[in-house]
Amino acid sequence: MDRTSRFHYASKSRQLKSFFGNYLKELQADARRRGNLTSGMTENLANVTELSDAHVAEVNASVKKRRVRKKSVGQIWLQDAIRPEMKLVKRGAMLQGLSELLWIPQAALLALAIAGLIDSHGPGLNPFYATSSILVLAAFRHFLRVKGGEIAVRAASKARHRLETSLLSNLTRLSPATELPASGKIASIAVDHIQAIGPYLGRFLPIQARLSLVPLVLITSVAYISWFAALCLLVFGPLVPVFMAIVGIRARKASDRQLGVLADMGGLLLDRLRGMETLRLFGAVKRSEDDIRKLGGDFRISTMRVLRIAFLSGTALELFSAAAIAITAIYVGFSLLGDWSFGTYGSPLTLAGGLFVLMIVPEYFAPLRAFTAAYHDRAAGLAAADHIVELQKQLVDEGQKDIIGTGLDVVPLPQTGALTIRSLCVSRGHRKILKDVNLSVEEPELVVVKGPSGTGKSTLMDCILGFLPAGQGQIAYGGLPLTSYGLTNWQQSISVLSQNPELFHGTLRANLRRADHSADDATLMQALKLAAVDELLAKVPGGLSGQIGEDGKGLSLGERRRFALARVALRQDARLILADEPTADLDGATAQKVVAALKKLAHNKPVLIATHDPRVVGSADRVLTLIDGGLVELNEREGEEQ
Amino acid sequence: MRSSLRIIWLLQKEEPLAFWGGLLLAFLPAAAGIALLAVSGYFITATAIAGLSAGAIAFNTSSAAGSIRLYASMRIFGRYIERVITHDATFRFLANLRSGVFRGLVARESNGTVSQRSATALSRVVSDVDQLDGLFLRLVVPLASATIITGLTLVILWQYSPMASLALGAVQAAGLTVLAKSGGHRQKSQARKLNAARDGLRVRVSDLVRGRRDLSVFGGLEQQRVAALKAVALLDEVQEQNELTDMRNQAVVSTMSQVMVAVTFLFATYSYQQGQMELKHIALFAFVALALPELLISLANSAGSWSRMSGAADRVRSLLTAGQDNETFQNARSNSESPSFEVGKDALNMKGIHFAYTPKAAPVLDGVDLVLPTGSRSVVIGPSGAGKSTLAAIVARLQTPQGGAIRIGGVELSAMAEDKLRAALTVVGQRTQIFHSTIAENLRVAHEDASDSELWEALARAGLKQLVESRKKKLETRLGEGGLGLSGGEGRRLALARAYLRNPEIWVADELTEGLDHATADKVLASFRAMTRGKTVLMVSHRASELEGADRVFVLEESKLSEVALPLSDEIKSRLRND
Repeated sequence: MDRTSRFHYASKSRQLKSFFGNYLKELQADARRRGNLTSGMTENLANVTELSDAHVAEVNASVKKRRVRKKSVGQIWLQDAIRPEMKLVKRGAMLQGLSELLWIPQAALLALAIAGLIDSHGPGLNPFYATSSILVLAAFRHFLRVKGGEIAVRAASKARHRLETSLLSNLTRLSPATELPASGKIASIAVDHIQAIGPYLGRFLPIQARLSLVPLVLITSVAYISWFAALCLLVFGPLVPVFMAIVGIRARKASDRQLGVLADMGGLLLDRLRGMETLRLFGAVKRSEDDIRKLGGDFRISTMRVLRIAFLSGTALELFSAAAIAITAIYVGFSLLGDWSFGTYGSPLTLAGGLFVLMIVPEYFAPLRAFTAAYHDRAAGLAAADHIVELQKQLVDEGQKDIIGTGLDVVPLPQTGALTIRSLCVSRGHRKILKDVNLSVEEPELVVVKGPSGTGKSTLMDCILGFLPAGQGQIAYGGLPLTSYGLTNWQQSISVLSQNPELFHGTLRANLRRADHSADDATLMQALKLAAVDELLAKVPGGLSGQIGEDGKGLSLGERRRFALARVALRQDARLILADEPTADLDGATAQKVVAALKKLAHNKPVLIATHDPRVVGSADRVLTLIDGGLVELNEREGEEQ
Repeated sequence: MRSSLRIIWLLQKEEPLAFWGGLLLAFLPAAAGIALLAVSGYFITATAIAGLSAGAIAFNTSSAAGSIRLYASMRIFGRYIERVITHDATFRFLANLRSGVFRGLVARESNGTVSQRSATALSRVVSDVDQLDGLFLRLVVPLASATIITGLTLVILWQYSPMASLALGAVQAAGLTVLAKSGGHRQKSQARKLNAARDGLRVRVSDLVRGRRDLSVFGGLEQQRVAALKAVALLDEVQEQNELTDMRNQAVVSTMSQVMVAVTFLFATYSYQQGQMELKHIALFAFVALALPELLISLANSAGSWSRMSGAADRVRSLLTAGQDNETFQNARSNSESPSFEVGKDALNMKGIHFAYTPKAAPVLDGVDLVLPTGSRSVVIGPSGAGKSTLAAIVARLQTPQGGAIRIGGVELSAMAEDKLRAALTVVGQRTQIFHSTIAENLRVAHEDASDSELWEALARAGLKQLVESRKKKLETRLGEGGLGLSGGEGRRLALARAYLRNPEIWVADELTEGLDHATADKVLASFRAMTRGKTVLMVSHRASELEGADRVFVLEESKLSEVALPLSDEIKSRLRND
């Protein structure tokens, strides 16, 4: 979009907003009755208050300062994000607008044909000719409307797809050590929120664009016949939003009074369902059922109090559109009777002219209705934009620390080598976590890094993995810094047992094969046996082909950790094995099994364990202690203690 | 569709006044809107004819202008009242629906068929109910008023010109058919696809976020991204199809109205030329044709959601029926003269318990016997996954074993009335739920009529009194969803206070201190011991500290339960967590 047209668009949209921006309550109400597809009623209701706030703020702002409405961060971001598609959306809107305007010739044809039958002296038209012309025009209008709609919907879909793709890429590029919001929240942004952009872009924006043009042209066509009728429309149209704004302020006061009661009914049901077992244990099931019913009743009463006022604004639209029809009809009727003779340009109003005007009136209010009905899309789209922009900002901020670089000159990783850490210093925020850490590991052995929680064991692990950049100092393998191998290559040459290992949605086999794509079932079973988890296969229906759900559902923490340990064992080409608190929260027997398996793995390659569990420390070949951010080897002291 | 009808019927039975009143009131303004346009058109033409014949015919302007005013005000006020009534009705329906669904889920759970329900499944149920909010407002009301008004209009217009009236009806019927088709069967599979794509993407993205550490090490990051992108592409495609369908539906309705105007006008003209109809009624037909399709606009906007509603209705209906069936079953159980718990007998006596999650799976419990004398304290230990929690669930009748006999206080467990069982026995443990409501309400779950002083007493016993007193609203402090605002240990203690209010004879503690740190676990255990003095206690645990004060210790291993001698041997001790 070039500068001038962007300016043009901005100023136009500003006009629009001050003109029609004051739609409120009505909007929810209408969105609801006209069917906003995915919206639940509660969601709509939440918007009642939210919207009315916005509108009151808006009215105040426009009354006091007459300044441009302040846009939310999300709105600004969204405008920018969908810029490539805006042109298409506007083209779609133009086609649809053109289709709506073709009603003018259709109405004229029909009016002339009816008039011709009644008054053979006046202007007239052959009925058959008029009908076929209207049908031809209808076909053309249908084509334009569908075409325009397709363009807008496809453009919206494209924009949505682009946003989703970029969000996913940003997520993948991020260092795994980054703090992120809960996975459920991110998932709901990726799934629900980005979806809400579609209707905003594909449905609401085209309607908004049409709203500036179609009614004006319709008024002009009416003015051609009668200035009085045009004046009526010119007065009534803008009155609708004004009236809505006045009602909106009252509605807001009402909603303030009962804001505390506006609880989310769906949330209540979910809450009680989650706690069903507890409710049963305490014999409170029947009571909860009554609670739900009673709260539903309270909710209904308090919400209806708001809606009763909110619907008044919907009535404004009905009032002015019905009044416009009634006044036009009466005006035309009395003009035709000859009782009234004003509002035209010299010659009296003809029947054809009168019929034409009456047919235009409902169409004049139609875009307003559509705008009202689609207003929910705007609210949902903008709310979604706020969520997305918040996450994106977080991703981009963190992304600057992005260290999973794509190595340019990647050196092949040697089969064996020494991992050496020299005077490593790491700080998070202002806190120095690691100060001058030195470590060298080469031979197959079981090395334990111990220390109370919070001393930086996990940070050290993250540094070795390349998830966190070394602030100062160096981490090298085979004499070369890790980055020279390409961090992805390096990370994939380490086998890791995390404290809370993730099992993925899919079969057990698929989960294990993540470590070794070519492993056959025999190899898998061997690894499972090593991790002492083979007997648990019986528990998962279907064995290796059995599905495990999100979060390894159905398995206890100990089982999950042992399945993950089997995965670690399958990584035969790993240069190094890391384990973070492998025995935390495990009972004695299970912990022993895990330690034994790690010990066995340490015969072939170095195993580095971060832990403070004495059961693990006891089986170590070498024990290092993290004290004050430094790593101390305390072989003799350890011996003394035992 | 069948399920939707069933649900609508249920709603009608529960709130007949709101239902029929809403329908009737919805019908009036819609009809008034059509009448307004029709009369206006008629008025203009009639005045024109009167004007042409130069006053030869006296035209009664006041009656026509009067009916214009009447219809206009009916339209304006009727619409307002209709909205208020239909929305009120919808809220009533939703409240009923929610409690019905709740009842149904409880029924399913208490039949022991569903063991664990994931959070996703629960939110699916909730969103199903939310989807149905449009059932009355967006389907029943517009569909009923569209059909009735079209029918009425046709009957009225039939008197003037049967042919034109038929044409009108045919086009309207065609429009309805197109809409019904687009909301029909093909769309249903589309809706299912949409749900699947959405769930798929949700799972992929949360796997990607939670598992990014493991994924970048095991090299699945790129794979996961590709899988997520694939889900995105599928979702976008289905969504785009849906949006296109909606858009085309709206276009069809709009085009239909133009076709209707043209065709009706042509037939009306023909009737006039045949001498069957007066001239002034031609405009009447044209304007009715102009107004009638308005009825279909709201249907066109919601057509895309019918299939989704009907899917949701299928699932919700099965829950509603389950709830009704269970009610009769529960009533039967509590009405029978069920014997009460007797304190004198053994508190618990289990013989030959056999349990497996599925018929094919290996049994979790195989011939387990367990006797708890009244007032004894017993602990069951065993490796993780051995079935300790299952045993606790069976004792609490949250799971039904496939074989064996259980007597509680001398009474057959399966014959015991629900309220009597819950009064005699309580489970505290890792899965206790804190509700999104005040502390007092959370406690009164256990004892509805408990006085404030009883609540304070329970809180004091659980060691929470100080904490609650320090909050500004005391007992009326709201706890967030899932009990936010309370730490893990505090939540566990609140659950203990709740159980204390019940004051049961038998306490089952399922991994009471799981997930708590050492110091907190000790505090929780101390509260628990203080509360259960003199009662029968069964603890399930793998923590050494929970064994203190136990009369007897059992080991559950390889589906069998065996008692071990006290004091515990080193071999047993080594299996326990010591932290």
